[in-house]
Amino acid sequence: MLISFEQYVRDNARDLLRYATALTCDPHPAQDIVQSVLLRAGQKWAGIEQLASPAAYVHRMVTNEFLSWRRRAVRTVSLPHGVIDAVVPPSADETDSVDQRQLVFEGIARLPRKQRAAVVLRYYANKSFAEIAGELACSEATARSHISRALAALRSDLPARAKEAL
Amino acid sequence: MKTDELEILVREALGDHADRAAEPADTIAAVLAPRRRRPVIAYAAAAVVALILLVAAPLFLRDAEPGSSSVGSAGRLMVAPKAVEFPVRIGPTWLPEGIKEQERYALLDGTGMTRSWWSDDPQVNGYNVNVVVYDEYSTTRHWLYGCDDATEQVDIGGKYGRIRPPAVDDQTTCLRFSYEPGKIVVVLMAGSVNDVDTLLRVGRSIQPVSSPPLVVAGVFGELPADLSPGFAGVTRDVGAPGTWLVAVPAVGAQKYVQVNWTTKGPESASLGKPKTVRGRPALYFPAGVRDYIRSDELWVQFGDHWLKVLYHDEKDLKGDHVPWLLKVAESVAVGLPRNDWIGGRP
Repeated sequence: MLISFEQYVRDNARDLLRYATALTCDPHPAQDIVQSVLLRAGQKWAGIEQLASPAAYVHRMVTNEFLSWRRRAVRTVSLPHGVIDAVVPPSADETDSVDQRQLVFEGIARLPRKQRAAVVLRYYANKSFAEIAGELACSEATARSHISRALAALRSDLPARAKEAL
Repeated sequence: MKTDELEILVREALGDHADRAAEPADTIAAVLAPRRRRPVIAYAAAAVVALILLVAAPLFLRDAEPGSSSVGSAGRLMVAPKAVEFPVRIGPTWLPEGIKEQERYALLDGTGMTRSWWSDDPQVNGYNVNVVVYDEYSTTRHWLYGCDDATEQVDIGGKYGRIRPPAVDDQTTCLRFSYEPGKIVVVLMAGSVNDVDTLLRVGRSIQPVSSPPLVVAGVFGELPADLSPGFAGVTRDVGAPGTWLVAVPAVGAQKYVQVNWTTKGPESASLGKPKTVRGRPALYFPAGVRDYIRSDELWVQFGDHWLKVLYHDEKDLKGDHVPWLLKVAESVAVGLPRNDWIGGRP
């Protein structure tokens, strides 16, 4: 069944914003990316709505916009800890698990964008390696490599005691 | 750490990131509002409508209560309006070596444009050439450089012209002549190097050219009642392209509001007073906080782009201009379309 662009936007804007925020680790550029993608999608919606999965197509547009975004240049540098702390203040709970989660939270923001996109597609969007390869326009082996290196980088951010404990 | 345990942490952390996503209302409004407002007319007429909107939008919006305009609510994100093209029909076909086209600005009524060339390297002393073309009977031509004090008669390929050579107190040199009935050309040289021979050679090279148009995307929302959009342009200042719009009074030049959209941020950020505009971090700089800040300024950060709003009132330099800075910043829409002429030479 065909869906109007207006209905698609109303039904999916929230999910797209969440996905883009996971990609960018910053809600402001995420808004800009989603807005930019939706404006473009609206211009060619007559063709998109004929596709088997318009949602998958737009999802891929968001990924591509993130990967090719000129304005990403500044954001590919790691977010200052002060910025992240301001958004998610350090928890009063001093348990290892909270520390680790916070470290991973910050580490994701420091990943190179292709690795970050692969990680978000795998662990946030629950895509298969084949789907990730399709979305990133690379081989499945390369997709696996992106994720493997990303996990290694995140693991290296954890303190030694956490690595040993787990 | 075992891989599956790390993967669980990653899933949770990504969920934390996603939870920070903005509410979708602004995005939905920004995406759908232009579609609802877009008139169902032929595309050929769309450009004309965009130009009318560019000039007339403030006439409809300026009396609205602060924050109540449709632009204000739908425009919290920067939705660039449809781009308007200003064509170039005549221009120089010869310029001194070492300079490239860096700036253009046009009168919004389409009656005049200034083009500027200078070196890419700010350390290089060299030519700074400006060519102004405007309609002789333009009612807004006073916003362009006119070289009205040129008195020395010269011949420009059989046409009558006048020049003003450099003087002790003014090292600029300018030439003014009528290219054809009703079309005035001014050539201004303002760099550290200028001479009359080069000025005349540039002027005599002016003829019909094929050059990409100036493309501007910007619409003011709310403006003070005595100002209306006057001119707009695109500039590349030290490698950072930016768009600028200026609202001016019908008479005089003592008051204006200028908006810039660029990747260059404020030079003295630590002196700015924090504000929030469109839900984004902003900095306010009162006039005089630095020698080079002569007008009240408000800078709003959009990722790695900045929206700069400048309010200048010669008769009220110490006045409280913050309310208008905020209104303008909340309601303006501006973007930076592709401009293929940047960096070009004849």
